[in-house]
Amino acid sequence: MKLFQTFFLTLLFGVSAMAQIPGYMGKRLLIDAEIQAFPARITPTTTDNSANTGNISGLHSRYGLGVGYVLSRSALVQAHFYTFRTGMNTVFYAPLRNGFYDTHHTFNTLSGYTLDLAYSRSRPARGHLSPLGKHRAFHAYITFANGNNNFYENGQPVENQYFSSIDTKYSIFGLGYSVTYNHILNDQFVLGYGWRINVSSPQVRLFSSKLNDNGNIFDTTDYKAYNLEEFRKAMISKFFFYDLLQFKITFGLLK
Amino acid sequence: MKNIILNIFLCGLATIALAQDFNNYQPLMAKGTIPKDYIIASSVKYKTEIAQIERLAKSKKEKKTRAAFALENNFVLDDMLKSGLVVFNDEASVYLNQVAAQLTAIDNMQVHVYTLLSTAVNAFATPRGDIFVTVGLLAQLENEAQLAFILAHELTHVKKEHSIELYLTTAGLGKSSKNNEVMRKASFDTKLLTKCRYSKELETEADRDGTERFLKTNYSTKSLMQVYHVLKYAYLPFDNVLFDLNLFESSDYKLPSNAILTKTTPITTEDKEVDEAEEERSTHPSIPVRREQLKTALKTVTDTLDKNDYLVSEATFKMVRQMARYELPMIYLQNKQIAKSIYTTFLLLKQHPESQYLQKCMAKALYQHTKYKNQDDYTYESHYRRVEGHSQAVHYLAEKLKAKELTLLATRYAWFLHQKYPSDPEVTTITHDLLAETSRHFKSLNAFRTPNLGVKTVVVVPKDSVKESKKDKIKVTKDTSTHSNEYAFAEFLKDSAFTTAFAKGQAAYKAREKRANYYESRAGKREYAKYLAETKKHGLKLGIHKVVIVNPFYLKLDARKETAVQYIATEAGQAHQRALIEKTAKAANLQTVILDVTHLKDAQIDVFNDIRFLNEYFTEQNKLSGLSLTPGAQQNRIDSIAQKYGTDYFLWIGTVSLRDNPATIFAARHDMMHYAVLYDVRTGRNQTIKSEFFDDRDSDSLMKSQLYDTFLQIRVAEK
Repeated sequence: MKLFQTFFLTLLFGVSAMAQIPGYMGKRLLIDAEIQAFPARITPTTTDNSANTGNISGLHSRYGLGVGYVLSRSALVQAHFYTFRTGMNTVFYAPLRNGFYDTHHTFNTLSGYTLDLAYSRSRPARGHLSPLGKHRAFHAYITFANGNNNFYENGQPVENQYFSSIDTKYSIFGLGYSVTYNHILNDQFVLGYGWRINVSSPQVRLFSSKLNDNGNIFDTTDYKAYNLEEFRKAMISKFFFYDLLQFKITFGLLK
Repeated sequence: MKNIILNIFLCGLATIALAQDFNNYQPLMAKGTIPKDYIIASSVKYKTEIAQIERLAKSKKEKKTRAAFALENNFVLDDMLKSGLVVFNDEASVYLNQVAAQLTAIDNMQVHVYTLLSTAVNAFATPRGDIFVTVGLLAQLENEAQLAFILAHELTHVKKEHSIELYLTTAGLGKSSKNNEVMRKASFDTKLLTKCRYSKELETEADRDGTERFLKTNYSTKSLMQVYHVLKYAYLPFDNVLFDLNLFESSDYKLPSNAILTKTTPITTEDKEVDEAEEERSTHPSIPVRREQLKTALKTVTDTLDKNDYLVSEATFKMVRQMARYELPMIYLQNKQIAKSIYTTFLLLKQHPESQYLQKCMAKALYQHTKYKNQDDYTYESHYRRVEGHSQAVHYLAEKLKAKELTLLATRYAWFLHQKYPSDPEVTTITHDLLAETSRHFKSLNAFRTPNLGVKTVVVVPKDSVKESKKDKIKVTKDTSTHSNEYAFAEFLKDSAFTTAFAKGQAAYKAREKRANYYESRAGKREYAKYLAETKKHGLKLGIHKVVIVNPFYLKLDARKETAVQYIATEAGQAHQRALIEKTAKAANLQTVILDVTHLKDAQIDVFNDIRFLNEYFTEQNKLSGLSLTPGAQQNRIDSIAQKYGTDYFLWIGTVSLRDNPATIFAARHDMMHYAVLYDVRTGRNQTIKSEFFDDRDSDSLMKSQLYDTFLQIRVAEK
């Protein structure tokens, strides 16, 4: 309890807790900005949120802010808030029209945020005293993603055309492991770089969906349920590969 | 006339000032103000020399070689000056400079002569004008004229800049162009041989020119040939006297006969046959050759009436020589040369049997020896077979005495001393620890007797008795030795103070054993593992508020360069590390006093001496690292230093930074070693806080992080 009190008081007042405490020269609070990125691997729907498919030069990326707190000479806890923006190609099945099934290849934009908690350990015997040096961290994170899939009557977006859309909200849980090398400059700035590997849960939870059927595509709710399930399955694969491996760079401030 | 009176007055004054009470001997110490040689940074001296080299060097290569020499020479010499082993303005150095002044009067050469605290029989000079004379040499000389002759030889080395000349020749830039060609193309071995040959030439020149200089003074040449006698027997102690066992034995207590050497190896008097290969690799001409050369030089010289063995002062020479001799036992002890320390102390005790200093030297030597033997450490062995003369008996005794016998001898000697000087804390500590050591071998005092208790007479059967078998003879020898041990405490066995102290020693030993046994047990091992895990996680929590940091060490190496030591960067790194120490100590809220020999002002002579004694303590403790709670050889002095700075905790801290060519592209290009060892100087307890190697450069952040962690571990207390 005392630890939590200290942690939150430090966060609240942003004071440098000097003397007789671990950390770098008594500084144990770390505020940082982080970029995670990795070249897109499969189903290339990347930072480009257009319906453009086949863009293989994109990045899987996240941008975040975080705080860290040095618990001991070898332990560091960190909490990060990341945002991301991506998309995925999906196949949308429409009801029969004129005796045919209607199949649309559409682009599903995805954006959201991730809450990440990490516990890092360094090896003081190798000269790595938190927050300086090499840290190995275990992560637990949860991602909230908002999906938006627009279906145009003629398959392509045309101005003033009616369209239908499905807005979805998913949550994905994951576990990660990272290795980061932190350098401290001028006793105050932290430059970190490293890599991170994640395994996201095969259970993607859809916890809300909103139908906007301007194009009268969904004439039966069965199709909506069917498509949502298809989207959910696509999300599992999407986020598994999206998170799998990331390189990261951190710019931080020691207080 | 006025001058003569003034000289007589000054000499008299000097003698009074130099008067030394040998019963309460005070070791040689630096005095007065610190000379400029110590204060000016090595890099500044180097830069001054570089300016001269720029003007004088004939070629680019010569400039480069001279600059490399100047760099190495300045930094290495300054390191030696600041090591504490070189003393200045002390009685010996003042006298040495007075003798040197007799020799330099003819050409006003400017030199500084220093006393070097080393047992080696040696003197050497540098082109900077520093001459070093060891106490080992001073202890052996017979008169002032001999000392002057050696100084004259060294003055030639200074004047002719022999060391630079040798360095240039090795680099193929010497005076002889034929030689230069050979040196540039030669193999290492050929280079070495050529260097040795050239070195011999320089030594011969120094002998010749030194003799010329000497002959221009009023020193007598009568005893000059004896100088080579001194050099020839430099491996022997300063005297050769039969070792008197009465120093240790009494009418009842006798040392075991198997540890007593009745016939010692006589001293070789003939000149040894010179091995050709050895001679070739020697840097000096052989002694017979040098003696012959001197003989030839002195053939035409006849001493006039005004020539004298002493021009400065006979009394001062004798006093300085005696002081040099008094320095030897402690230096031997610091170098683990116990038998040499005992024999030298014995020689001096014959002159001053009541000297507290010498008696303590003896007690310390016996104590240290006991500690070694009781912990099965035989690294100090002196190999008596290689020793000549009467000192061989001491080497033999030291080697042959068993741990048990030695413990009794040391305890007995220490107790006598403790009775004599009950308030001496060093003697008290040693005695109590020795009583604990005695308990290692004897469970109670029942094993000991006084002569009046009617012990059966020990019958010593002659070893050559025809009736006895070989086995029985061996048995008899053993019995004799055991019976002798019984009387080790005969004189004070009934003394209640002794029995109480013995009981205390026994309790201390039992506690020590109990602790050792506990840590051998499963519970102890578990506790230790827990302690290690806790330490790994949170570091030590020593709860100390103030430490003295002694000579923070920094060394920068670059293995890619011809000279790995980066002298200039090392000096800058030292200053930078010091600044980091100050900053981090403040952040960790730890009070620190930094004793740094590179940051002294000329008036801080007391700090200079403190650093010297602390460094000696650290070196000594490192050598005795296996011996728990051993008081230092100069514990009283260390205690007073601790009192002066208001803390018992002294920290030795250092960093070595290495730049290397990596074996593969993935291997580290930088390595760094960082250490921090904390001593409680009153008890000898020590704690290695850091001794770590990193595959990283010595960046500010890494250094600060390490220093802060060290200081934090010292400062934070267990809850």
